[in-house]
Amino acid sequence: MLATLIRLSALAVLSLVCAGCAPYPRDTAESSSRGAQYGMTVGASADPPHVVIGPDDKVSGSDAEIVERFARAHGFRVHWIVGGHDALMAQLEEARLHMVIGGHAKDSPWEPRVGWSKEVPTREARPSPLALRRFALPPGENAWHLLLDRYLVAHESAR
Amino acid sequence: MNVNRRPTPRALPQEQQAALHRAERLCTWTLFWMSLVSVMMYLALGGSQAMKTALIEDLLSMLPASAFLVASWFRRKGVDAEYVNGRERAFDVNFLISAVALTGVGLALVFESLHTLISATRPVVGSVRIGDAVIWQGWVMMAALAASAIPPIILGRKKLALAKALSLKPLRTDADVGRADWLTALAGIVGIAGIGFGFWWADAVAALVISGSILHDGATNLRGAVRDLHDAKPLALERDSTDPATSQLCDAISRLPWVEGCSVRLHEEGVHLSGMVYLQNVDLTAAQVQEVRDVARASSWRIDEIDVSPAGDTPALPSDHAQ
Repeated sequence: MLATLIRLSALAVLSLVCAGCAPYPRDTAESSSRGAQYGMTVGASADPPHVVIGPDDKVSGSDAEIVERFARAHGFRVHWIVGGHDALMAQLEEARLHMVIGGHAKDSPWEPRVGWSKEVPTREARPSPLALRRFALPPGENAWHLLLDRYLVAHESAR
Repeated sequence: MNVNRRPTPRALPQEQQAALHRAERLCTWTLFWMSLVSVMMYLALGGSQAMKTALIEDLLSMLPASAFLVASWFRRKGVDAEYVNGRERAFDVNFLISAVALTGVGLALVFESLHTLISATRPVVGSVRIGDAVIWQGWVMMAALAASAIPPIILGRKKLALAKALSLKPLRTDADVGRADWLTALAGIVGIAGIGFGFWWADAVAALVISGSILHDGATNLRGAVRDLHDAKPLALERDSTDPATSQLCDAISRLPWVEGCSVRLHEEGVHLSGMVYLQNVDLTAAQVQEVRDVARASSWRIDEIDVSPAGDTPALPSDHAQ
């Protein structure tokens, strides 16, 4: 029993030491490095006034503005993919998108299958605290998730 | 109808009584600590499969301790008009419940980790805001898992020592459940650390690796509990040999000058051992029967009710302990 305890503890400690040596946590599907290299691919599903889809599939609204500000802050380009909510979420689950905005219900059936950003108040909603917005993120993309959440808490929560 | 009640079971020696009280206190502490640990784990719960399984295990690990306390209370009520054979077997029922809990933990681990691997589910580990800082939730989960491993390690070691003093198998199984608990917690830490490295399969594989040993413990204990409920040959606590009390009993009786040969058939009833002593002597006086009973009780504190049978009633050999 003692030997197993020591072996497992050593493995746990070794994992943590290794974690301290390199960028940590990391992504499963390299969302952060793909975002930096090729730009971020964001799914947008109509949800006015937060996500408004123009006639030429141009995406605007308060959620889209947050995404644009986040991209500018990190030097990412944004490629918008406009589509139905479930189709976009299915792509997100496989980490083919960096984010999906618009159409997320409070009790979304996608809740445990994808990641969710920290909630941010939107311009339209302020000062009402009820209309908090959140974005869906690919599962397993630890570094990407942390990068967005850190930006939202530092720059968007207090705006 | 005249119903004959069994005599009140033999009182435990001072040392064993004290050990039983300590075991009860340990089980109460187990319930207290594991409730706290479960609440903490629930609050730190993220999308990790190993973390969810560890929480299920923490909840299940309270079952053997609760069953032990109920069994201990129930056993103290002793013989009455309903329970004419006493309640010594309460600990055997407790043993079965504990073994089922341990097997359940093992099966849950195997199922959950295989499901995660086959469905290629990417665990969602988000972030936690602490003041103005945003940190990866994996750190919180690993800290919670590390803290959850401490009570079962300490309580498990103490329970194992008491299980040996009392030859009490349910307590031994309870200690095994505690071992399963901290193993899962440490494997969970390794798994979540792996998720942080971008290996989505890490925590499911970590859970699968340890589930084998937990399932093995569960199955061994379950087989033991079923054996005991069938009054099978009593085994030592580690289940690797016959309980030494059996041969000690045979030796002690054979040393009586008038005994012409004996064999015994014992079974476990909680902490006690009871059963039959078959002698080769054709006639036995009441005084001789009483002498055998006295010698039997003197041979081990675990021996309780012994019936003595003369040669005419002796079943056909072979017997493992014919002398």
